[in-house]
Amino acid sequence: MAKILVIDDDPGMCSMMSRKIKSMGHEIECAQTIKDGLGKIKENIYDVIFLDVSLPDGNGLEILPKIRRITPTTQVIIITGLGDHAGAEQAIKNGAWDYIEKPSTINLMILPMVRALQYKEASLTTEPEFSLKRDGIIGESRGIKESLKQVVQAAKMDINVLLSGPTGTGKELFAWAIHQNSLRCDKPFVIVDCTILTETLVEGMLFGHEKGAFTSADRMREGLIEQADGGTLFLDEVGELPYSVQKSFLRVLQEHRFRPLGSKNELTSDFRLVAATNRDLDQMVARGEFREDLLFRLRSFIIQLPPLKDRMEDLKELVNYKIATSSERHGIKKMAASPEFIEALKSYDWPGNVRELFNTIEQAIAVAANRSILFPNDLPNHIRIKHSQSHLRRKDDKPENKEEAIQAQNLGNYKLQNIRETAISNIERKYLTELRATSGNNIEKACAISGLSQSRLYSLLKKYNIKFS
Amino acid sequence: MLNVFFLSGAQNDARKRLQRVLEFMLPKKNIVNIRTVKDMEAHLRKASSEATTVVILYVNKEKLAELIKLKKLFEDTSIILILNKKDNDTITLGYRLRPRFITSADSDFLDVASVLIKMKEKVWSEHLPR
Repeated sequence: MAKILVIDDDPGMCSMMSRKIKSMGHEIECAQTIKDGLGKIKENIYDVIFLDVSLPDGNGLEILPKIRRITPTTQVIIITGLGDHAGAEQAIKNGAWDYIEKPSTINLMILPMVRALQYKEASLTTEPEFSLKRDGIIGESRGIKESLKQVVQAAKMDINVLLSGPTGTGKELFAWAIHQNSLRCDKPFVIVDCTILTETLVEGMLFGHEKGAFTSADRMREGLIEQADGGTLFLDEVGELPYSVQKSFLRVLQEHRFRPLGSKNELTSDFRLVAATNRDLDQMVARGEFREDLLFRLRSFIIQLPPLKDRMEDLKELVNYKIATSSERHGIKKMAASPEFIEALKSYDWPGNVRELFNTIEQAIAVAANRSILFPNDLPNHIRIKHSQSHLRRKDDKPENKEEAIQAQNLGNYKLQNIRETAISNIERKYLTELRATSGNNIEKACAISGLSQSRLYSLLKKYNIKFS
Repeated sequence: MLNVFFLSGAQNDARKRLQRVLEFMLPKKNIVNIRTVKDMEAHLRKASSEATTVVILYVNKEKLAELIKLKKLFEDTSIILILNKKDNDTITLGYRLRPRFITSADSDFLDVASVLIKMKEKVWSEHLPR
């Protein structure tokens, strides 16, 4: 039995899909807003999500990357009232399984879901037991588990991998894990840090050169591509690779052949490429800063690493790990983190991710000196301020005393949303009663007059308890 | 701030050239000269997390094998590895330390200088206020 989520503000669509999906033996939940949908996604694991484009609190296509980040193995099917080419392109680029237009027949809408479930089942059944070496990758959150699952898949296949994620999310650790768990693990893991190589240096470093190939080439140099033969070439921060070098590198990726600078002979190298970036390579392509054909080659298999703020449930384990390794490293007694210390860390959103967290823990240990417990006071001011502000915000959200609470509840009826919903209900009920009379109690005629699909009409009739004889 | 831990047991021309390059690039107080793997271990254990540490290792195969045992201590550092042999075994062993840059001892070390400049720029940009 699969678990399906429909995010669509049309109750008729939700109930029609619920009936069909339940009849197929699957579990289904519905959400009418993005906020509601994201809340459900964070608490449950769905196999397939149907995501509407036009939602009351935003555009489904814009939220798609976030959904893919939270739950990368869930397939998302975009459903839209008004399909367009740009929307379809955006959906597929952001990892949607399919992009379909409403109103199709229910069966046409269900077919991509069936295919997505078959795909998932086939992927699972071919997956044997695998004991993963995760070397420094800490956490059991869903985001990390999903990324590790992808590491397993990537390690077993010999394809190019693109690791994408903000700075400090551990892209090098994941690249290392792919190498360590692959058949190439006994061969070199060659790092090319594109941020520390100048344009003049990078070409010679990658391809190597003969003596005299250029002014300062006073000796022959073996290139990193050659040294990675049999192993893994890790191109860190690939977005920084100079445009002039991208074309030659693309050729290496396609043919695994290259010519060292100044050499007459071509060499071959059997390496697997793992690239990493914290930049939006699509945007770089649009600005003419990155080659589209190279990006196409790099993204054979994408692993999107979650930022720390999306996996706060791992925070405590990360803190304990860092305390343990720091204590061991500096030869000091192991400290413990107080619950308040953890709470304070949780109230911060960690733009620098795990790297920033680890630096903060190191500093806190230094501040705490000989104490055995870490307290919020050991943290830098900007984190403590954020923690204090988060308390204030919570206080502001909830009325302090009972009187205020009751008043707030009473005033709820006077919210514009409630007034609007009541007015719409009254009009719809009146309209349907008249429609029944005008159509002579004939459903098909009522559909033709109203322009509603049969399923939508049935759901409205059910909602207002109006019966056609 | 960029600190350099420079490990080299050898007393030869290459070491002197490399030392000159480092002193040209960084204030002397930021360069720690280390002669043995044991001393390197002690310095890494004392290293502060506030400074970015670059470890430059000018070593042979035997020293590499000793250093690999300390791999965990290199976690927060960037390694520039300078090998005095170019045979496949040494290179393969060297890569187990996951260096950010690797070159050989017959280099003029201008490549090392260029990498250090980029590393310094990176440290500065990371310390700019957000």
